[in-house]
Amino acid sequence: MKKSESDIVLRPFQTEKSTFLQEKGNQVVFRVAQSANKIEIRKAIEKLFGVKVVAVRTVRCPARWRRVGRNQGLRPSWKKAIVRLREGDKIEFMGGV
Amino acid sequence: MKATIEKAEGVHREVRVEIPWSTVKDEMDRALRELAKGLALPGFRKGKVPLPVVRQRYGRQVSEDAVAHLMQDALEAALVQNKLRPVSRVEISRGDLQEGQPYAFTARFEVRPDIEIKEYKGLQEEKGVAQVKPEDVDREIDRLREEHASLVPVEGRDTAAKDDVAVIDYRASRNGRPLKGGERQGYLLHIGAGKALPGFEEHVGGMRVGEEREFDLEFPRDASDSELAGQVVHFSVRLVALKRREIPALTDEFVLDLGDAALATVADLRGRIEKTLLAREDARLAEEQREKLIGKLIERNPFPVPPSMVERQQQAYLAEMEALLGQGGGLERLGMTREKLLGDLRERAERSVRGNLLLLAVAEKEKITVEDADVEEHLAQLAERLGQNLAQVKARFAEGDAREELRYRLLRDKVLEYLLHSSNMPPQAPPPAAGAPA
Repeated sequence: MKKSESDIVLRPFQTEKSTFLQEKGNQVVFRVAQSANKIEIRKAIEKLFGVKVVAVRTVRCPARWRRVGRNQGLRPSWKKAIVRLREGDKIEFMGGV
Repeated sequence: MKATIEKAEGVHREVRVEIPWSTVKDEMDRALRELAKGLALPGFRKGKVPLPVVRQRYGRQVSEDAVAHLMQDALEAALVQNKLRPVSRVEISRGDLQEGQPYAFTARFEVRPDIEIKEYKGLQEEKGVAQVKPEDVDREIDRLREEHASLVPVEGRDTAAKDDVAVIDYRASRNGRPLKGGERQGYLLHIGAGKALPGFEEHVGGMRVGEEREFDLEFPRDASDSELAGQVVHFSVRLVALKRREIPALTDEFVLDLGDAALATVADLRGRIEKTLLAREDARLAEEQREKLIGKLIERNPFPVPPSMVERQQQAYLAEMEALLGQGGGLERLGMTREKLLGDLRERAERSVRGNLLLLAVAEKEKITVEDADVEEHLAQLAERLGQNLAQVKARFAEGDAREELRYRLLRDKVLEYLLHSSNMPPQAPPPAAGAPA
């Protein structure tokens, strides 16, 4: 089955750094599926938000050990994508889905 | 802020207030910044969350708070601007908040009516002349004698009869088990007074001193102790002694025994009681006269009365009565419900509200005021009468409601005094000594 757009782009990633990037270079950060590649991400975002994507960079963030009391566990690894939009384009998140 | 009076009928007012969008927006931004200062969201350090993010997440809630806050201020300003003073709760219907649009809301409330008081001078109202009948004095004296009755042993017979005070020991039990608190020794039972459990006095009557009797009695169904109501209880009673009440004869000796240095003879006592009764009657008549005067005032000066004030007065009366009857059940036992009682109190409440408003109107028109000096004087008098320290009394009326209440009462008295004197009444004749034989 073909992956749908929302299976690729999972949710926006809002942090101080992502806000900074947005202001500085019109870059938006998303959490994306681990299996997604840059081309898929570009297409998905263009379709979902109706914007023009100039560049996509991805980061694979490592899994991390976390301890809660005496339980130790592994938080899964994940992937985020930093997407640069065409100048003038904007993505507004409603409700931060 | 823009305020327009939409409706003004009688005591009802409806005011529409508009708050310009810029004010709303400023207030919202201010509130958001305030919130952002201490806010930490995942991905952001404390206080570093950018405003747009805060707005997106908390905007709705914050705007409601901000608007509520603004409304309060705007309403107050609008009331001052239009010189409106609500006497009821202010009911507000909120408008919708729309970006770029001024925010509008409507406030509905009642105001104190403009009373143009016309007829208040020369309202004649006679005061009755206080009188005390000799029988009243007799009754007072009899009561005093009753109070000073002493118990003396019955001599010459040992069978309990009516009007004796029987000294008994008793034990009460139910189904063979003693009742809690059901054992008493040296209990004084006045036979024939009808105060004990029905049948109890009859059983004890006819007993001889030293005799023991056992009997069963059924508690009445409406007994105050609900646990025992309708239950059959077994009593075993022993008659210990017989006494009778001896009411002292009305002699100079009795008067001396009262221990009042100013009273030496029966005549003194009569004189004293007559004076007290006269003063009481006089005070009652004065109150009656005032009430009648207020009644006339109300009759001659009709005006629309704010329903909410009447309502509040009704509630106050109700609370008073409930406090008097004791919480819970007091009303029901009298076969009354709150609703019914409220209805009954309506007229009284409306009369009271009308009277008060009219008296205030007269005060305003005649420039009758209560000065601090008046209050001080009253407090000094009060302290003397109560035999309390002036500072103590003052502290009690130091501020707040108590002082306001006192001022109001003084004002009311002053106005009434004024009204009485302005009504061209013949000067008060001192009440003639009532024709009671001393």
